Amino acid sequence: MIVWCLVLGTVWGCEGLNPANVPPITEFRGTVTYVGGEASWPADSVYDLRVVMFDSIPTSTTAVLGAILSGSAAFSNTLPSPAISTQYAIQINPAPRTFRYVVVALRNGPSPLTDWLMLSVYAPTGNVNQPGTVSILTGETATINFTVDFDQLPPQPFK
Amino acid sequence: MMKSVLIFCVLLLISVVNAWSQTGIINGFISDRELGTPVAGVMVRVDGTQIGAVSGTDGRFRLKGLSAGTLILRFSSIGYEKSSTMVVFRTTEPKDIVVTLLQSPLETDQVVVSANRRVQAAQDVPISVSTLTSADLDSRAITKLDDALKYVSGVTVQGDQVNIRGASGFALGIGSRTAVLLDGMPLLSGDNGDIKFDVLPVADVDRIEIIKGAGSALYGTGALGGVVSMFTKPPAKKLELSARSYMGVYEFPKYDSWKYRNTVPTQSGADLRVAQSVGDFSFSASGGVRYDEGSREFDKHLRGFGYGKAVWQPTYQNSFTVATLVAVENSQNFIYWRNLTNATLPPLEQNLDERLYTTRFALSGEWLYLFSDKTSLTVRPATYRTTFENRVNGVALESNKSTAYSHNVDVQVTSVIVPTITLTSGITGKLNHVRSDLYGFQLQSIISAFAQAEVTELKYWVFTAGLRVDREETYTLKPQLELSPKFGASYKFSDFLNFRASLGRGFRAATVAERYANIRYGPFNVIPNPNILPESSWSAEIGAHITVTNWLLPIDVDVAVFDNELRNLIEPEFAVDQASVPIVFKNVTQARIIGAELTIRTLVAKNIRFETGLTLMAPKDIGLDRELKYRNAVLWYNRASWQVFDGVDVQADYRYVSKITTTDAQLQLFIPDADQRVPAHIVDARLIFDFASFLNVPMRFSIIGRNVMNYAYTEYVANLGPSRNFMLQLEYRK
Repeated sequence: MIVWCLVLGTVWGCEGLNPANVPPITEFRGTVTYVGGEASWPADSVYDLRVVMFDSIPTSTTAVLGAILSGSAAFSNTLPSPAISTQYAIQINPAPRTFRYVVVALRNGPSPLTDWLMLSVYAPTGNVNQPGTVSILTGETATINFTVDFDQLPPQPFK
Repeated sequence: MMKSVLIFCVLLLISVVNAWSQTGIINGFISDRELGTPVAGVMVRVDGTQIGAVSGTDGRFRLKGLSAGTLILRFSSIGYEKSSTMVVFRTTEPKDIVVTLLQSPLETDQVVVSANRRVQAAQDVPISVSTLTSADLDSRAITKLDDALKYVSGVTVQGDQVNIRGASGFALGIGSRTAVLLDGMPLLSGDNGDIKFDVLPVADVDRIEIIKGAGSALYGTGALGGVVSMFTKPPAKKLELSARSYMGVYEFPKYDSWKYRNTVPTQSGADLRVAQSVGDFSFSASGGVRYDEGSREFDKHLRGFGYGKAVWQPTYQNSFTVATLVAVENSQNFIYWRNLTNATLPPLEQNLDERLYTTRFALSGEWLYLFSDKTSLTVRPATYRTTFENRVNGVALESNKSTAYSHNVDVQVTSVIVPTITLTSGITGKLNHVRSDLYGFQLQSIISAFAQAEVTELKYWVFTAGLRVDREETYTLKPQLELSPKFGASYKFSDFLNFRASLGRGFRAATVAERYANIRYGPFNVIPNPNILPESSWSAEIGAHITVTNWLLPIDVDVAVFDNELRNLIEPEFAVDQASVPIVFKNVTQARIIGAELTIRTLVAKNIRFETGLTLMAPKDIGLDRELKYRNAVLWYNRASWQVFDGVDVQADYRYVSKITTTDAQLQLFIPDADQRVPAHIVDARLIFDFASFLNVPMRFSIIGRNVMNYAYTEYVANLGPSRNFMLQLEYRK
């Protein structure tokens, strides 16, 4: 009985997991829609597909991997392919933070250094030649949706 | 390999040389010494022979095939003190004997089958073995067998993976390091090497034995960390009928942000079992359904299973058994949480229309032949078919389905060469055949030969030595040869104190899934690595067992210290040099787990039982000189039961599992809040009314509470454990 009283007392005193103990979630989320459905996907050239948010515009394909590895980009999990549309979410930690180039990025070859292709770019003005900047505050959830048209890709940022 | 086969043939010849001679029968009746009532389920063994029997519900047993001479019969049963009697036996006439057993306050003197693949007293076994009987399962109102394993010291269950003394970590549910058997039939799937406990026939299970430590010398691949061996009930002479139904609810989650629906999730299920013997035939059949909405969204399961067994014993020498198991499951597949704030929700990208549909079908046979009262032959063929596929709105996704067959055959000869030496030897064959979009078309074969000798030459000692040779070959890859020796000794110091020591090797061949998986699992891309070598272990243990019934408190104590050396452990690793950071299974880890285990059972007062099991472990990754990842350092299990009055039991269990301190840092790239973990404190409670005791009605009603303190914890990475839930269970047994 004494042992059990100690046990119950111990368990009573243990809080366990508590969502209040983690910082509030700062998150981008949205939907990526593919024009033409699954039939429009390029066969055999989808190695990796993610939503990536860069602190600054990558000027070379090698800068994509560099930004991911150095932490100067936030990225989603790999998106399923082929698909008609898919949802994504990217948690931002630390926040607040500002991203100057937000894209759906496809790795279309075996090399993570060179084989990158931007499929859709965040451009609130509607002009894909002018990528938009987006900022988010701690605890905010922002929605950015993308449309990918494999027949009409945005300008690539690489020089 | 040829050498092994030759050795086996020689051993077989030695065994068969024991010529069959004229034999006779002993009929017996066993009763309770105080009450005079028949005692069922008593294991009867004849010293120095392979002859044995189990008493039926009428307390009667029959021993056939006995040679003339002076025989020593030994009787053991849970709840009774062990007993033996000497019988002078002539084969010309049947002999009738009457035996009375004295009740024991503690459940001691159990028999064990799995440790050495033959029936023997638990105290003669040189390795730690825990046993759960059908009485244990009944008293805890168990509906899923993995729930029962959670109440065994040194054992944790993560999902369906059994982890014995820290042998397993977090392996995406693939590649069990514990061999799992049902009546000797391996139950690991041919592709993933996994097990689904909740489709096994709970109502038919008579006993579960858990061997702690490497067991490959007898069980081959998979027995790296231990063996879970389940045995079904022998049918009784009269019709046995049992039915059980239960239903319950999960409470709303502890925090508002975890609340994801407006009505409480439910769980329900039913079991039915019927069994009877008619002449030389006996059969049992059982089935059940389970519906569980879980305490998280996208965690709903619907399962159905059936089990049947038929036994024909035309003569005392021959016994034929056929058994089959069928199970289907349609489930949602909660892989990990969205984040801690939304711990009861799956990730946003999870398609909520997706379902995992699995089927399992097993067919096994057993032919038991007694060459004489000293030599037996057992032949067990079995086949096990498993399928799984992901479906969206009822349509199968071609890219995510698999069909696997695991064909097994096991031939074993057990012979008492001379009264002090028992030889167990055999050959086994396994063929895994996988056809899958995920794993391709694969064939994996394992052929083996094993032999083990037990010597009881000295009065108080039992020595064991054995060796097994396995040859594993996977389609186009270089064959692997594994030698698994074992050594053991037990010493009976006195009637209440036994010592044991053992050393054995275990190994596990990589599963087809680990070698060939090309799969997207949640956020992870898993890529193939065909060149994985088998992983192996050496387990050493020293232990002691004390049973005292005449002290101030009757007490049963088992203590063990152990050292598990793990080599070439196959673990999922993040390939950080690749942009998508895929997971690949590799031989990466050399590890050592040193530990100690203490189990105490006692009666602290009349009708109040207490049991505690404490396992302390120091899991170390030798290569990285740090704590081995995904391991717990402390497991502590406690149980108290109080028989308030005849027919009313109150029970409580408390499990403590220490916090995992070391994981893969890369997990947090994929899973939000993957680092959020706490120690687990889980309290379960039960109130059981047995109407047979006070209304003479063969029914039982149980109120079962799980996680009654509503403690929030993770069962494994990013998977919240079930919230407080209650069940009402009604059972009829005739």
